[in-house]
Amino acid sequence: MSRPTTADLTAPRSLLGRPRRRRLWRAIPKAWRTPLGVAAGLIALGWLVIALIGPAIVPHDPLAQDLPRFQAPSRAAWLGTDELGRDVFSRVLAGARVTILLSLLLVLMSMLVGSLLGVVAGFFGRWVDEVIMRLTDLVMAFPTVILAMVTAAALGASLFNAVLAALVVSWPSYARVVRSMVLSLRSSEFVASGRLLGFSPAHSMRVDILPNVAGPTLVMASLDIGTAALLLSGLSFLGLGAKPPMPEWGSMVATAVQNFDRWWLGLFPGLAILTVVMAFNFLGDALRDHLDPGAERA
Amino acid sequence: MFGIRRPLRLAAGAVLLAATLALGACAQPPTPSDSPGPDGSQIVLDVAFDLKTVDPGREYEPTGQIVVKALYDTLLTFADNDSTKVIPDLATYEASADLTEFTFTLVQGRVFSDGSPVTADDVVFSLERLQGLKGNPSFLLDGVAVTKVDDQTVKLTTEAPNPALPSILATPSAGILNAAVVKAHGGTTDETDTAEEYLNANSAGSGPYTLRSLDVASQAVLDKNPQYNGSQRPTYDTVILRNVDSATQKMNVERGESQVALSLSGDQVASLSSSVKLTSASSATVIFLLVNANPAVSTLTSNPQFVQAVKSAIDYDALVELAGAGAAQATSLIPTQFLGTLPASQALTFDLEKATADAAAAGATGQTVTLSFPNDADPTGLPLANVAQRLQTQLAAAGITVELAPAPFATEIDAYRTGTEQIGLWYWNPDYMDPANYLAFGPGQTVGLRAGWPTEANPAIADLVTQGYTTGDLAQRKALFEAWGLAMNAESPFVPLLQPASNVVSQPSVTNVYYNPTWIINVAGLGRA
Repeated sequence: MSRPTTADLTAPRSLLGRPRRRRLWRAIPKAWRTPLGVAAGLIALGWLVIALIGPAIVPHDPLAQDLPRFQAPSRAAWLGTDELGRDVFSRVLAGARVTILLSLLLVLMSMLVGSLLGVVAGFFGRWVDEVIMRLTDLVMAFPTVILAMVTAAALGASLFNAVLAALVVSWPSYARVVRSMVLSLRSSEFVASGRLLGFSPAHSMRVDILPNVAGPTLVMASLDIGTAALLLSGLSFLGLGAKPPMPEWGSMVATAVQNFDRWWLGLFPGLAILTVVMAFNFLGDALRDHLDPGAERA
Repeated sequence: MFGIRRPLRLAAGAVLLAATLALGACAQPPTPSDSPGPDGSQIVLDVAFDLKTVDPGREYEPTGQIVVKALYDTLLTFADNDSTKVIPDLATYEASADLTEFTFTLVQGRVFSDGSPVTADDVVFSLERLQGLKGNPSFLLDGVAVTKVDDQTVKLTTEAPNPALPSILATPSAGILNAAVVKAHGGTTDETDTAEEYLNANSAGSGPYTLRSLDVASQAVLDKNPQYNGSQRPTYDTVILRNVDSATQKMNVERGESQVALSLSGDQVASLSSSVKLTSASSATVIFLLVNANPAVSTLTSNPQFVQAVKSAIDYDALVELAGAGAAQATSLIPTQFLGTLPASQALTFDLEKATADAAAAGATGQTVTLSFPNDADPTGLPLANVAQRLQTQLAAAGITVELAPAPFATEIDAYRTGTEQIGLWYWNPDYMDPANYLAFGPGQTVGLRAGWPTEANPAIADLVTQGYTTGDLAQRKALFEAWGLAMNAESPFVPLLQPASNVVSQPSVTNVYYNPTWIINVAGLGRA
């Protein structure tokens, strides 16, 4: 963690942020220089592009039931057709938008919610800290998937509710990490001097604390995208997420289980989940290894 | 974040795929420790168990019916290949003209598995126990009084005329137990009865088989009853029913590890090896749509013209195609195996032009209705989600916008029973083999009210319902139920869609394989080529 010098503290804020940001940008290409990092980066980029322009490139309407049912992969339907005569290839492509964009949204939201609560807990301490930390203990005491399932079931099956349910179980780890960072930062001299200069708590948090916790939190978030994708498709697999007929990988795998001898129904959405999760995990790992040399290397 | 550490997390990426690959294969593979003996006097049936007990007074699950049918005889029964007419089993009967008094005369000489004769006392005890246990099947004999006339004669008196009573007495739940044995093991005719444990380990009936062992989670083993002196000629000395997941059932029967597979869906049998025999028939399960007639639930669905639009917007053939081999369009709410069903020519028909015009006239344009269904229910291997998705597409073609609302059975059933669904997709399994079962769909009746359809909404059909409950003559009943079915097709808020297939896959050596809507398969009737 970079500790600003006294000179930095007296400098204008715009100068404060710049050296950090430049390091972050320079760091990324270097972190990707490992073969795994390059491959993961390319796959993740590919999926992101598909998620963004998916509807424009699908060869067939992913909802149209106008093909023969249960066709094995062929030239006409590259990945075969499903139990209702829909094109599996188009559905896998269309599913990217649902899974990837929602995973990013989920990670972003849990990062925001968790970090905010963590900063507040660490900065104010005392009963505020107690309340927030006991709340994280409460959530973390439950098995993640079970708690998400219960929440999704209680809210009713829909993708939005699945994201909410996943959010409920995913914010506490951010809150914990951010709180511990804030605790050590709070007692550091530049924060204390800021307070002596008359900064309000909000100002101090924004100017002194947040820039210093942002980096590690971002790394953590990048590591979480894969897990978020897995959790969201898991909820859909259980019928608690996407509603039919929406193309979603988890629910596609669920129907494949009922038609087990048609291997193409489950294999391709399963591969899609696998590649997305692995790509984002490797990417996150590479990023962490580079930015967080203090972390234990596995 | 989700509490998974790094090395684990990498592995977690592969978990879902691995899980999907494993799930289908990881059915409980029961060790065929009792594989067929060299004499072939043993038969192994694979079925996906839905089994809680084999106490006749308590069981009401499909697998329980298979077992209980083999262990206990009933007063009356149906032939294996005809489910429209009751025939005598333990007794013959006569009904009074007003259909409130049924006199049963026991067939001479029939005995239980311990050799003691079947008497009127056993009949009275068994039927009163069925009523008194307040179990799942107890409703079958609601309002029926059972009295002994003499040792060979029993009289059943009903509060209201009940032409369905003979069919009801043919359900395995109405099996006759050996009163002395059951009483010795805690049997009574009220809720203090404790004989279930005994009856889950032993049988006390006069049926062609006796129970050797039972594990409700894995398998039931039946032995031929040496004392049996009824009309059936059981072929196999030992019958083994194993709980096997349907994907594994297919492999087992193709490899000869089992002789009969009972839970294969229409799609699964489509790719069957030629070494096995498929007996495919439409099941007696009717999948139907409920279009709520209650304006408080929806002003759109309660518009009769909207119902007409829905009925003509559905391409029934394309729906039946989803269910695979053996499925058929439900010609009326009464399935094809029953008395009073309609011929295919009188079923509802697909007419997109009429549907589009009706939908527009009913004001469906720009409105969205909700189609609710239980997403974890798949009556005979057809997931309702598939039917719902195809309906959504078909209705959209006629200008009706439908939003799907899947929910677990356990929660959706409440909305169905309280009549708050705008459009509901449900199925009906017959409780007993009589068309009177279906009168519940009539206006002001149980299911009719779930569609917000009171008696005054259609007095003409309500009148047919009353007649259906009180007419006894077979020919009159047939005409009556046909008229009821036609009127329901034309005017009711229900749309009968299809009867999914019921597939029995067997080794070529097994003969006389018939599907029965109530007890699935009569194991005592199976023969050997």
